[in-house]
Amino acid sequence: MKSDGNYKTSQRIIVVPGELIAEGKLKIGSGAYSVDNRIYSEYLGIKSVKDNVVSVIPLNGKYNPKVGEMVIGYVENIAQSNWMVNINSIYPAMMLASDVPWRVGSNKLQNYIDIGEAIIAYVSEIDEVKHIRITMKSREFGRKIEDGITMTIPASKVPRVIGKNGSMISMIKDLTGCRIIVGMNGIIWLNGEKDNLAMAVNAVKKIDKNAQISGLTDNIKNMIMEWKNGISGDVDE
Amino acid sequence: MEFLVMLMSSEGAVNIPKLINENGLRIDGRTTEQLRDIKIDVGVLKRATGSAYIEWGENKILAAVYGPREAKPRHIQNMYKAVIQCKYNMAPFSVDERKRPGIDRRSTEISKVIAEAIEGAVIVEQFPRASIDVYIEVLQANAGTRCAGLTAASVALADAGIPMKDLIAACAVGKIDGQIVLDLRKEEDNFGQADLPFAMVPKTEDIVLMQMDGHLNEDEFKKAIDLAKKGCKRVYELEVEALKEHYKADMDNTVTDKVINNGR
Repeated sequence: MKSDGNYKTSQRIIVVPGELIAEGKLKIGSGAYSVDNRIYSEYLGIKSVKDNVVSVIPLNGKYNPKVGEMVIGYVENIAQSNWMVNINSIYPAMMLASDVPWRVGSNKLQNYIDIGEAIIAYVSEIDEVKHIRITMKSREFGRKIEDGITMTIPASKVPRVIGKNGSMISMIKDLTGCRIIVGMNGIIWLNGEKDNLAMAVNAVKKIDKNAQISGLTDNIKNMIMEWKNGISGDVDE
Repeated sequence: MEFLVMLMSSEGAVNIPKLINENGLRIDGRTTEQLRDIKIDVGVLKRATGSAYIEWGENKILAAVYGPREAKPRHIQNMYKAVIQCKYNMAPFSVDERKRPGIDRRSTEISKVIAEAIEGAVIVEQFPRASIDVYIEVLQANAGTRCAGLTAASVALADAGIPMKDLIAACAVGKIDGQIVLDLRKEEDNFGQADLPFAMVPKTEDIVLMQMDGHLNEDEFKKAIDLAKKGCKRVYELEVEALKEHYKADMDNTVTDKVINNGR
C-alpha cells in the first residue's frame, strides 16, 4: 500500500476506502472499521485523530440523519395525511399532519405547506429500515420558510460552517447582520439586507470550498472585514 | 479454427498470427507480465454522484454512479441491504463493425457479474431499501472492457462517497501461443487459447469476479491466478493514485485562493 505521506494537504491526509489508517489500541470513530486491531477507512475522505478516536470524514456523500437534529427540507410530495420532505438524505422524510403546529383537521395539506416549499423541522424518529420521520412541533425553530434564501452544501461540511461552539456562524451573523439557520443536512437558510446577504452567502461558499484548511474562522473574518472596508471606502469617495 | 481465422482476418490470412515473438515480446511490444497503459480520471461527470473515466490501452470507458437513493419500483427493495443495479453498455461506434444499440445477451451478463462484484466491496448493509446505480459506457473497446469497466466503476463509487471495505481492482489473464500472459488485447483475445477476466478486493485478496473462456490445465490456471493478482495490485495502485491526485489538486486549488491567503 502506498504511503499516505505524499498526499498531505494543510495537515489533512486524504484516505481511500480500504486504506490502513491506524494500528493498535485506538477507538474507532465513524467512517472506519477494524480487522485484527488494524483500522481501515470506509470512505474517500480526510483522516482525523482526536482523543484516541480515529475517524474518516467523507469528502462526498449524502446526509445521514440522526434523531434530534434540525434539518431544512423541501416538500416533495403530498399524500392524504402526510408530506414527503426531501432533506438531502438517501431516503425522503415523512411528516404527518399531526407533526405540524397547526390544526389541520379535514383541510387539504396543500393549504398549509405546498410542494416545493421549504420547512425547518427536527428528526423525530428513524426505524431500522430507515423510515425517517420529522416534526415541526414543540421546538424553537420548527416552522415554514416564508422569506430569505436557502443554499445547499455537503452535510459533512456543516461542522465547519458552525465552528467550535458556534464561533464561525456567530461571527458571520455578527459581521453581516444576517439571520442564518444551518440545518444539519447541509441546507442553510439566510435572510438579511441585500448586500450583507450576498456576503454571508459568499462566506459560506468559501467555507464549503476550504473546509479542510486550518484557521478558517480568521480567514473568513478578514474576508468580510475587507469587504466591509471596501464598501465604506466607496461611500467616502 | 482456420475457418474462424479466415473470417476474422481482413487480409484473408489463413495462418494464426504469431502473438509472441522470439524475444518474448507481444505484438504491441509488451512482455508477458505487463499491463497496457492505464489512465484514470476522477469526477468527470458533474451530474452524477460519482464518476470516472478510464483509458486502458485502446479501451475508453466512462463510469457513473448514482445514489444511494430509495430503490424504485418498491418490489426491488431489500429490507436488509442496498441493491446494486449495474448497466453495462457498448456504444454503437465502440467496435469495428457497428454494434446494434441496446441490451443484448452479452451486456446483460456483464452487468450482472459486475453488479455482483461490486456488492463484494460496498458496505451495502448501511443502506436498507436503497439502490446504488452504476452505469458503464464503453466508448471504444479493445478486449478487457469488463475489467476496465469494473475498475472505473470502483473509482466512481469511491468518488460518490459510498462506503466500501476496499476498492476493487480487475484485470484479465489469458493464454496465447501456449504462454500465460497478463491483460489480453483484441488480437490476443481472438487468436489466443484462453481468456480469464479476474477481479479482486486487493486487501483481502477475495475474488469477486472470475470467468473463463477457453481451456487451461490446473498448473496453467494456478499460474494465471497468481499473475492476475499481481496485475490487480498494480491496477489498485493506479486507482489510489488517481483518487488522491484528483482530490489533492482539488484542495490545493482552493487553498491558493487569493482572498483566503490574505489572512496568513
